[in-house]
Amino acid sequence: MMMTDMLSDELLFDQFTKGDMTAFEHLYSRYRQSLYTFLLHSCSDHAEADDIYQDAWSRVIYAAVPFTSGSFRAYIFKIARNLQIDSHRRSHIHLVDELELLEDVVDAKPNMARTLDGEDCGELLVSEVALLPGEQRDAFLLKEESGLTLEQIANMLEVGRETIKSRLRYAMKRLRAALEECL
Amino acid sequence: MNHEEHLDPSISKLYQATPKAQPSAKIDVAILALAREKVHSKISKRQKMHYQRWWLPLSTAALLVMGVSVTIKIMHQPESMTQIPVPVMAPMVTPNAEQELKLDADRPQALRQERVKDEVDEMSLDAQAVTKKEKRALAAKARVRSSESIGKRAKMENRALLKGVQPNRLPQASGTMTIQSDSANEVISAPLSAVPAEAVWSKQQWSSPEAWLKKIDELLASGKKSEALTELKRFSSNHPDYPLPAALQRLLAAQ
Repeated sequence: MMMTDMLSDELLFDQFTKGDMTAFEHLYSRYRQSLYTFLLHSCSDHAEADDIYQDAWSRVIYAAVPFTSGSFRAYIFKIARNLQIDSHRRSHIHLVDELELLEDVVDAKPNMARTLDGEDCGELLVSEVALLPGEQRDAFLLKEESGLTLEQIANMLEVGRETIKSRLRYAMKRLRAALEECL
Repeated sequence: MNHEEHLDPSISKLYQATPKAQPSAKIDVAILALAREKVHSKISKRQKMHYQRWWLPLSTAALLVMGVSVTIKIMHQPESMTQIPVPVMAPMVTPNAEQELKLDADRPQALRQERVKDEVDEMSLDAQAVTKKEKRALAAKARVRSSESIGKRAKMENRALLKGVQPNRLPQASGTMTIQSDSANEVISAPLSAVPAEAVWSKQQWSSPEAWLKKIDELLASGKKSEALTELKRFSSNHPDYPLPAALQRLLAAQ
């Protein structure tokens, strides 16, 4: 048991591809919570998050091109994010990507924390994260939930490291403004 | 500008403190069942592959064993069963070889006649006391024997020439002797009639000391003392331990 806990994600996945079910159980327990939370905070509702979560794992299990190298963490989060984008496209949800629109959104909902007096700051933060533009939300959630480095996130989202930094900066700015009373 | 500006520890701390959502147990069971199914299909595939891994070498080995056993069986079959008639090609005949062939074709009859004559002469020398009847019978026997041996030899030589083998490489028949040719310095097989009678005689005697001694006695009786002495010397050199008659011992000692 201890030995399996010490093994890297990549090694566990390799053992699973060789027929070790215990390795998969360990790997699953490692990502069960963080991946689901990431999806839940990215998606509009629980049902969608459940579907994408299940779909992401089934893709990992029955991948046509199985994971062979790199970080398993980045691999599974990338699958989940891609599925989420597909799901949003199907449901005609348009993510707010432009910075100008972001300013409009910020102006349209001034000081959420103040209007929701007595509400838990955590819940407020979660709701504020959900209101973030798609790119900023992805950057923030990936940073907080997956624990990936800026380089890994940049690679996953196929943008530069500085772009990720910029997105995170905007996200933080907005969240700080929304959670002024809690911080 | 702070390089960590993109991060806000207080927001991160607040976010980490929020209650984490978890998938339902139903989803967990479904995902683990999927994984288990994959593992089982992988195991069965591996077993199938294992089966495929051993059947190929096994069939190859079986094929090899069959091939080797059939080869061995064919090799141990009687020659008559395995022999395939092969068309015989005519040998390349050079002008010299053609001449030799002609000579060989004529040789058996001439040889036979000469040989018969020689033997009859020899026997006539030996058998002074033999009656005419016995002489005739002996001559007939000798004729048959020589014709057989010479005919056999001629046949072998002809066959060898057809196959392109030099006749002098053939085993020597009883009716022939080998001499060294001076000009070509090569061994030539020739019938006895072609060789001087004395050489033939002395060669023949080497195999039988009694006959040789008898011949020496005859030479002495006929007055050919020098020839008898030469033969005696040769005899004693060839058979040094053979006990000589007293008369011959005296003759040898006198020399």
